[in-house]
Amino acid sequence: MSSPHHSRKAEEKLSLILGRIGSIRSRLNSLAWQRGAFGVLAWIIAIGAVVVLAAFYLQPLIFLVAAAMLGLIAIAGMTNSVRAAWRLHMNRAAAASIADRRADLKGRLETIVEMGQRQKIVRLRHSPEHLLLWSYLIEDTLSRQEEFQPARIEAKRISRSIYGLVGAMVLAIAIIPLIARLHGKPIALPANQDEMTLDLNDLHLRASDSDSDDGVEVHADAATMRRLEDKLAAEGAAGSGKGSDTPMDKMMNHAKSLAGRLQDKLTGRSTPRSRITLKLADNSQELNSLEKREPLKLNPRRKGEDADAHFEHERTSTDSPALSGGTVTANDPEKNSIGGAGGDDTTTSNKHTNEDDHSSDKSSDQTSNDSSSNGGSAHGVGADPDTLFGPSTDPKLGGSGFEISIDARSETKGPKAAGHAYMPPKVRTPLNSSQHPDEPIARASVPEDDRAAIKKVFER
Amino acid sequence: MSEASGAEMPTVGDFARVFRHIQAEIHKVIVGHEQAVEELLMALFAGGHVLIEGVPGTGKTTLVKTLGLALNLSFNRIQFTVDLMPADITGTRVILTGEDGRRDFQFQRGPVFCNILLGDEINRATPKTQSALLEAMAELQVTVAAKTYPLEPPFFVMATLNPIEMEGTYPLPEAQLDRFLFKVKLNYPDEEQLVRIISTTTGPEEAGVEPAFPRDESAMRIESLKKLVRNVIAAPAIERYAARMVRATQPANSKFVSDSPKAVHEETVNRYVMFGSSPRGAQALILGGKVRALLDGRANVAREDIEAIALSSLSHRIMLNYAAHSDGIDGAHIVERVVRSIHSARPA
Repeated sequence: MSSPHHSRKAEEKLSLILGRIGSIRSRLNSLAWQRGAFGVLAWIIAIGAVVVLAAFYLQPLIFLVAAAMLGLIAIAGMTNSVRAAWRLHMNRAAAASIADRRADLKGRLETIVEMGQRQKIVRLRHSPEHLLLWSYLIEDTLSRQEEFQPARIEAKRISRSIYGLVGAMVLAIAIIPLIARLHGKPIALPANQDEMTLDLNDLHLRASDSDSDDGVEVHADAATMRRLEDKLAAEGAAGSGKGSDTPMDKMMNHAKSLAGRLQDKLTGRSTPRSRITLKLADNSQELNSLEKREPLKLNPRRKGEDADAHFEHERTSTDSPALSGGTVTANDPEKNSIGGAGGDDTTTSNKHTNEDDHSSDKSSDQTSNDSSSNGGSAHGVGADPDTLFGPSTDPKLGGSGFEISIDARSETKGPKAAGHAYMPPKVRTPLNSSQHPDEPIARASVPEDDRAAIKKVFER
Repeated sequence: MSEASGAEMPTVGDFARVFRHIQAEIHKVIVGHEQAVEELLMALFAGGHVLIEGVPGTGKTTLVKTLGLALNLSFNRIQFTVDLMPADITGTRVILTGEDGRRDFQFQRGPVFCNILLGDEINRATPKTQSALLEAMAELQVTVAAKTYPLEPPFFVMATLNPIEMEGTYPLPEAQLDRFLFKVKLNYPDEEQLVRIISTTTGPEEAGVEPAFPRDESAMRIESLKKLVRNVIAAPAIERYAARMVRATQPANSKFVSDSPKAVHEETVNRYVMFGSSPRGAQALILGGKVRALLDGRANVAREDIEAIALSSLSHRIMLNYAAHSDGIDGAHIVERVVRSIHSARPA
């Protein structure tokens, strides 16, 4: 049908066409994979930015749900992007088909590619060389080679999906100021405070937002711990009857813990590395025992010795906002010695509890103003609270309260259960010049005549 | 006179030139009906037959006669009636007395022995008579009294259908309908065309048609052009496309359909079609596509060719159910929907 020279020239022409189609295919596939990569990156950046923002703004449980949903959306979006890229990925015949359509070549390229492939796979009787119009098809197609140059078929080098990526980056950049503003926000509990003392009676318990027990270690004597457990149990029972040990609660606590840790990681807020030692005191028992022991004994020195200087809080439960659950709260800084929102005040007042009697008067003054609670009674029965420690000074504490989350559980092991009960230190406060020691009231002598009547009354 | 010169295989350019020449000659007589004329010629060069549907007076017979003149081929016409017998078409054996006085049965050829046969109002004959054409159309031969007589190529049957006056007619059986490559519709001419028809047919001079080939070369030239059509390349993807289109005309719930997940099924097809196109429909698509490709100066079939030819190739092969008749749905409507579905299923 044709000479070898003619045949070789025909093969060269065919190679030229196939090479051109190969270039078109490379370009189209490059765009396809760009689309996939840009799409995946855009999803990661956009969803990541939103998740980080949510970590700053949302409560742990809500954050966890939102993060999970956003994660699902991101996975779906990324899968979609990869699938789209895979769909756009094409073989040589598909690339030829697209080139045909865009250059209006009416299937010339596709026919050449397909017939060439058929020739390679099976040596049919009707292989392209044996087709009467094969050479005509090659020549005809080659005469239109200007129409199917790769740059004309696909002018773009960069996929349009880059706009999505840019949009995601813009979103992420827009979020940065919000994050930066929140990033410096101090945590209520200062990092350098590692010990504080609280009165169990002043604590309001409610369910903790996180069951992480990394930060707080509670010390108290056995009786106080029992009271704490009772109180927690009572609060738990009162709190809409939620049992604290149900699997659902455990799961929720676990989820909250997970969310909290995740949030901490995302926001850069570090959880307190050193464990805070929380010393619990039960002043009501102290007072009761004191009163039981010496109801009318008015020895100021003795009284001062017995009245251990706990780190007390004079608020009654009615003064505090109604809270439920198992979080220890002390939320009136003006009346709480550790209640300052700022770390300095809290640290200062906390130190008082650990030092001896010669600590500053200010915190004592602040804490002993309200004598309606039993905390104040520990400083002396019969003393004038207004003048006991001299003139009061204005509180320098901040306006915000603080909240410490603890998880109080009874343990069979460990230092708490081993009986290392905390014994509050005794505080001796020196009197200033305008103060005088309490004078005991002299026991009145009962006339002999009346003694019989009194005795009769008590016997009755 | 001769457009395609030489005895060699004509080129792609020759084909298009001859085709356009014949087309132009026909349009000297036939006003309008451009698409119908083109499809008629396409069927001729594809080696198929055409069913022409049109109301009376739209130029069906004139068209066929003009085609015969333009091609310079032998032409016969059969007016189908109820009492027409198969032997009236194929021919019969008659007793003839020879010069020596001996009487002998001799086969008297019927009107089917020609190059171009016009079966006018084919639906007025009985199915038995209609079936007489089946063998001639499909096999290009006629068997009478156990003896087979080949037909001279090219053999081209054009049958007309009158869609009105349906009383006393016998709709063509599906098997015979399937033998026609295309079904061409002749509609009423518009006003402009009608004016031209009046002026050309009522004047003192009748429009003359110049044959495209000399009488003795005509058949051979047409056969070589038909061979060229067969050489047009249809890529496997195009063949798959045609196959997919034919499969899409078959309802999914048909017991004759072995479905596969890749089949495209139009809801309209499932609702209105009783039987879809046969494999002959796919052959018609490819052959028609090949002719179209040559007319476009191409040596390959494109999807556009398949889509363009689908309506005339498939519409008469689809058997509709009662729901379609009651809703006024015809085969053309179904094919249009199928083409749209297949087109949208193409890769972007």
